[in-house]
Amino acid sequence: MEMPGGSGGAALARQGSIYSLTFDQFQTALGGAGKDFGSMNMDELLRNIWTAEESNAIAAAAPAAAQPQQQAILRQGSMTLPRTISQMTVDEVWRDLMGFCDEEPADPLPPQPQPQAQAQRQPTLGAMTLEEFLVRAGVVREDMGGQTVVVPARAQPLFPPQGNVVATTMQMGNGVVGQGAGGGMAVAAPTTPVVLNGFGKMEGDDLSSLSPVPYPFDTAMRARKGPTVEKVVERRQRRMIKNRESAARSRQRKQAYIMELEAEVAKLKENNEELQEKQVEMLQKQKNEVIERIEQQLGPKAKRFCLRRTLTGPCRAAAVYVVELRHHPVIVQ
Amino acid sequence: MSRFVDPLVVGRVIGEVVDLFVPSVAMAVSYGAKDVSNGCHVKPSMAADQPLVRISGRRNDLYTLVRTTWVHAPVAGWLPRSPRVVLLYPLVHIHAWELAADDFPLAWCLQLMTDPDAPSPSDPTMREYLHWIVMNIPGGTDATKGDVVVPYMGLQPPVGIHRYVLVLFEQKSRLVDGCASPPADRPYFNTRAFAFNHELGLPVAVVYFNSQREPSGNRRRR
Repeated sequence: MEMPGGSGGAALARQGSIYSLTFDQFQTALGGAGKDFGSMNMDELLRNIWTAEESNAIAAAAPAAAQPQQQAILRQGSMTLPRTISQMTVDEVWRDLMGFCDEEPADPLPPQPQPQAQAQRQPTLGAMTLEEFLVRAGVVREDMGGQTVVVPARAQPLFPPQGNVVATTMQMGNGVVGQGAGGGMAVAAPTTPVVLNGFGKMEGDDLSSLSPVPYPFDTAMRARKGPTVEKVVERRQRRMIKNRESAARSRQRKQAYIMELEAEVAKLKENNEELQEKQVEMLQKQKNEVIERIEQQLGPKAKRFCLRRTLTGPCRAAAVYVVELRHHPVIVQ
Repeated sequence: MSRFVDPLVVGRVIGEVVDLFVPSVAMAVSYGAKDVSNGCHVKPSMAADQPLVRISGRRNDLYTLVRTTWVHAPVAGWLPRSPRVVLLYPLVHIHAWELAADDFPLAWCLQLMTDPDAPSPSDPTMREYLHWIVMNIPGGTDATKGDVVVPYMGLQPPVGIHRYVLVLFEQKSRLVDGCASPPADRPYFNTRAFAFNHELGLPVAVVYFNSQREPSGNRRRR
């Protein structure tokens, strides 16, 4: 899937990564719309995050839209969590996190490439950054839930080539709608590689199982953000369909042209062969015709040709005949 | 014979403009020096004037028949004895036959040119856009010998790459100018309906080419 140009990403780069915001800041950024993160589903949380992200991108790109909550874009299951997390609320996840951390205080969370991550283990959810939370939630859940995706193992080696990998994983999993998020994610990669890798892997595997999950949430979001959400989504989808059709038409065109060329080549080859055959035959005929005529002419006088001594006259005549025939233009039409 | 038709099927000309048919007349279209073959690319600047549309021969199968007899006759003659004048006759005979094919009382032909991708191939709301109609073309000649019903209009593709289709029909009889009611308008033309209204039946030859608006800056070559 294509990224919607570099504009979304560029805008976000200017905005800074939303994941650096703490929960509190995020809450205020949403204008109090995300009132109760604690009781919110993880899905809803993600939606809000992406909404804010997208609105930031749009706000940066189109200065007219000042308020982030005017244009919230829905993600139709393009980035989802494993089942274990999505149904849990933020509070529960947080409690688990704290519990997990308490149980193994000495265990540095495996995929944490940043040494400061452990220092950021704040007691309150509000003070924790989104990035931190998501990282822990995503990664920790993987460990506990025993999911098939080996996120921790992959995250570390993937850390160095951040941008490319994230971009490709985003592209892999993203549906029609997730282009903005993908662009945003790609830009946020330098700061949150682990998070996005985790999500990318997860979404790649669980996309099918979780696609119905976002739908019940759509209505809630829509009621909050207004009808413009659908329009943008619809526009994108239409554009993608048009592009697909155009690509198909282009392929058809190419194929038709090639078939035509092949047919012409075959025709011309046939033609060529026939013409060459004809030419050979024509030459043969000409030759034979000449011989024929010579024979004809010389037939009755063949005898005289032998009597050299006495018949000088007829001999000369025969020679003249021969010469004549040789220069006689043969018309075979 | 299907290989003559396959590019038309793949290019969706058969299906959108005409129905499946068997080509029976050879039609050669050329814009100046450039010969048009199915699916080739023509610049609108080259197609400002009407092309030269030459119709040759009656039926393709007749041609092949003539050709095979030409080849076989001499071979039969060579073997028995030295070649005599006998051989010449078949050659002359076949040539005469070929001439007769062209002079065959060929029904008149009607030829039209439309653009099924108007105004844009992804959104062909004005399908088809009529460019040209010539009728009463005597067989074996070209379109200049016919009567123009709708004068030729140059190519003006606004958006995207358009297909331009030239369709040749065989008329049952010579059409009087009055009875062949010219279509009122150029857009929203329908080739099938037109053929039905004038009892033209299936086409006998179809050629199509592509064209797109020339960008003001660079030149594109296909």
